Amino acid sequence: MEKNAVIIDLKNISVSFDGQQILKDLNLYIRDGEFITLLGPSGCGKTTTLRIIAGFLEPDSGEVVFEGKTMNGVPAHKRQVNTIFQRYALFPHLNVFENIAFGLRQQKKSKDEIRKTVEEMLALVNLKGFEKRNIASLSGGQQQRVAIARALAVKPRVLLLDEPLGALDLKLRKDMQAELKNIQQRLGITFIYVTHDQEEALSMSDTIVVMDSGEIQQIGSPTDIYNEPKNAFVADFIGESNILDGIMHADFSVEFQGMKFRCVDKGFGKDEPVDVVVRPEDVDIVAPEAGMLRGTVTSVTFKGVHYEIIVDIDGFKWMIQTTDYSAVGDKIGICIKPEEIQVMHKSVYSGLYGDYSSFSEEFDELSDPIPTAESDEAAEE
Amino acid sequence: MKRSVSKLYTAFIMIFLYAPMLVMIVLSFNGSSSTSVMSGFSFKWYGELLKDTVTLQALSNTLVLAITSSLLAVVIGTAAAVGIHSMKKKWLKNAVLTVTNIPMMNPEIVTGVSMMLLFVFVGKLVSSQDVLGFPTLLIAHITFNLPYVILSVLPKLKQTDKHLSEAAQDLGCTPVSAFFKVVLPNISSGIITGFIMAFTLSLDDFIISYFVSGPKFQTLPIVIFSMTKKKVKPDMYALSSLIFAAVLLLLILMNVFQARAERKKMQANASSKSSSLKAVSVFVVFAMVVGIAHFAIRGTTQSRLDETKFFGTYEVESLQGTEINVYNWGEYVADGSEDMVNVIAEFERVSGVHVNYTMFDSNEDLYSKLKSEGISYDVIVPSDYMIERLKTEGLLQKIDFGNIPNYRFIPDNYRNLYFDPQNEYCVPYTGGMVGLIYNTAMVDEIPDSWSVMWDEKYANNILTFNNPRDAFGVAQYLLGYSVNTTSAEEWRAAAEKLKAQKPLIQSYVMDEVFGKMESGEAAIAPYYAGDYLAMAAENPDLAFVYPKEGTNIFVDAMCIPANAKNKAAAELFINFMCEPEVALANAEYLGYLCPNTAVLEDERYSLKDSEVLYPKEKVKAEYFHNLDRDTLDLLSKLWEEVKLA
Repeated sequence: MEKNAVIIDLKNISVSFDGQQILKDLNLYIRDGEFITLLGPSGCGKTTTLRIIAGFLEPDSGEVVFEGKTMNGVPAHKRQVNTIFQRYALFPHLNVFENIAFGLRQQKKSKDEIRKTVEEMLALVNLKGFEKRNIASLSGGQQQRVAIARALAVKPRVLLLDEPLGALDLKLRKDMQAELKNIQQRLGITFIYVTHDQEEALSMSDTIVVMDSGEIQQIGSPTDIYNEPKNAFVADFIGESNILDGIMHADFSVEFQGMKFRCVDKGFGKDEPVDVVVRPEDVDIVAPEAGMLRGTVTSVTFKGVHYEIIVDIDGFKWMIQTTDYSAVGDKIGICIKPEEIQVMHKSVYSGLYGDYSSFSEEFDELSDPIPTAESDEAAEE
Repeated sequence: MKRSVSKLYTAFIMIFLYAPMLVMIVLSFNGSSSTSVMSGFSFKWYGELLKDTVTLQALSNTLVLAITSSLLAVVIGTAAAVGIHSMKKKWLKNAVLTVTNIPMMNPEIVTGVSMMLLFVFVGKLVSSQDVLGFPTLLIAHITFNLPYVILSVLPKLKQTDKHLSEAAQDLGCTPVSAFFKVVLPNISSGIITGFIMAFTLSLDDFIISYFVSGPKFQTLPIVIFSMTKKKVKPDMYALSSLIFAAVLLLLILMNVFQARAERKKMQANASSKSSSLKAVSVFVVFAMVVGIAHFAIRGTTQSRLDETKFFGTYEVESLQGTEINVYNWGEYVADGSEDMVNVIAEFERVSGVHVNYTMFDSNEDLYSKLKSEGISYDVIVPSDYMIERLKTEGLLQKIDFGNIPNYRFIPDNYRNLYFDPQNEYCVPYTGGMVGLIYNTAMVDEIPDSWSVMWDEKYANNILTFNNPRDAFGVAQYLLGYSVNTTSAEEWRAAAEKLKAQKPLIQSYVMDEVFGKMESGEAAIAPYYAGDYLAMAAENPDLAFVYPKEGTNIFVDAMCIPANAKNKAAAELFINFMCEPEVALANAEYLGYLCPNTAVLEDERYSLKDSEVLYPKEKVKAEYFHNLDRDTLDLLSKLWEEVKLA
């Protein structure tokens, strides 16, 4: 099997529950050995997509192809994919050894082979000596490792991971991210990873699939997705963004906030209304008279590495991340380099994500919920 | 201070919980049959229990039923719980859950009656008359056990990660094997709790079982409840003590297993192992009990009757291998206890006819069973007024007296009685009269008038019947009325008389009279002459008198219901019961009047010369007749007034 062959191909997949469409005509192919992440807010259809690949759910229409063979109608236990569940779904009545050996016993492997494989797996996830331990006596991180070992023990071609780190605390999550990536690279198997955490997606993936409302918004490498979001949704969901209404006068020339700016985008219609994205860290603060735009600082928050400054420019609130301190009430000017301006066609998301006038940390938390049992269920059903 | 209060509280709880058990265990080792007279330590009642085949059979039936019904309920209930749990629509889930819970909320009597009606109805459709039996009991017990199983399994399912089954399938299990490999082990503790609850409920259910059981399969609660007219046999104390000991043993075993499992907690499988061990130990203990019960039934050697002394022949080839259903009062036949013969076993031995022997505790009880039509009996033993009623309602059939040559032993004064003037429908079985029992240590005079029950000297030392007909009778004799009067005036006057008596009454009793009179707790009580003899054996201070105003006489007689299936064998059985050797055994066991001329002349009959049973002077006595509907309604209304006054 050559390295970049397509291993899974989803063709025109649609699913709805109780009249509500969860996936709308989804098309996605996944290459062998790829670390691909399905990223999106809860309810976007990412878990549903995963369950269709795993075989827990049959699509209403469309085809699931695995190595050229259609998988529609093939039950979960006959597919060469394995899943790591959100809350691990370890078997509480079995010890660590038996949990990992479970799939091997199903495959009727010999005793020696089972012991050997389980030992290998325990070494892989750094849990040597935990064979006899009870599941309930393990910490969250250890349970996570057992879940990984259990799924990998049966040597799947594709590993599906459904928000696997969601239940861990921040520090542990970071460590596990690195470890998962490491395991994936060592074993060279395909990982399909589902998360709502954009940072996690950016740091681990080869490819990110941004989803919303049952549709794919953008597919690309982490840098592509970050630097060149296709629409306001992607721009807003991945990192912080100032999204402004603009008009594309000609190639390399865009106007917003009453000023013409040079940019690197081309190929738009003449005077086409567009969305303009400027990342907060790409804005330079200068003296008011030297700035392309001028405004007043309305809030300053110290973030450790940088300050987060909200500047009111003609009624639009910009977010700027900078290491230079400004005080509230200061008049400042801003400069933006042409390559830092990202121009996008108008989409259904235009206008939904605007400036930072109503921004607060708590509000951000609320709009980006950590999945609970209910939201998880909603995403599935 | 606080600690001593809490200790005191614990002590009280312990006393209230365990004092009854302790008393029962002490009584089970009491040589005397009285609850109040201690005559030294003895294993007598345990010995009696081993000979009491009816009770042992009932015990074994009860355990078999409890184990089968709870096992099936666990299987069905677990499946139902899994189904309910996986329902997506909330309203549907709630609706199904409510429906399954109804049998739990429903009063048992409603469940019992409605099930009986259903079974009888279905039985008629498939034209099987004796539909009530083990299968119907099993269905009924599973039905009322189901909600308990579902309710104990559902929460376990909710606690179980819903992705467990998917995880197993993901690793190569089919959905079915995923359920057995990972879901089942995680809900097993709920299943076992459900099993134990179902088992316990099934074990002591009386009401529902009463309605849906048939003569071939009686459970222990039904048998014990049928003993309430007479005194509960002390071997029941022995049985209850043994059951208590078994439960105690079970609890100890469980705790030992649990403690062991706890120690091994860090090792996997401990929890599931301990719960399966629990289930196994429950099973083993009860299987042992069933085994012992069966062994005891097989192993008993009974004294036999001398067949050469029989007048009739009971080997009828055409009847061998057939069976009859006999419905008699509780403790109304010599059953092999206290070295007597087991009459029923003897009949089975000599005739080859199998007898399904069951018991009732009131005429009304018998009547409702007959009317339910779920069971056909071949021989029943109602009292006088009930015979009259059954006859007029067409529920009896004429007996072929040509098949009952032993009818010649029935004395003349038991023939042509008001309820059967032509001697067509019944053969008298026993009889008795009510008199006054009094304690000579507390009563100086000879209370030969019912008026003593209104004497303030004996306030709070007087007992009376806790049933309306007999209690009113006492007032009616004193007032000179007939106990069968249709005059509402007379009934009301009698009620007034009883209300006036009420402040003097210590309590209204039936079989509690034995303990209270034997212990000297009360001075005066009206009761049956035959039962006085049993009391006097425990307390020699007791004496008996027939009041001069007159009293009640009753006769219980064997009849064949109209829907009997095996009339020929029924007649063979009736003839056997009139056999002098048999009648003698019964007369000795019962202590009531014996309507058999051969027995009355028999030197071996210990009560032959009893002045109490067979008074020289004629006692003025009246039978109860069947009262009309209006009078019965008035009576129950007035009785309520008396009890509430």
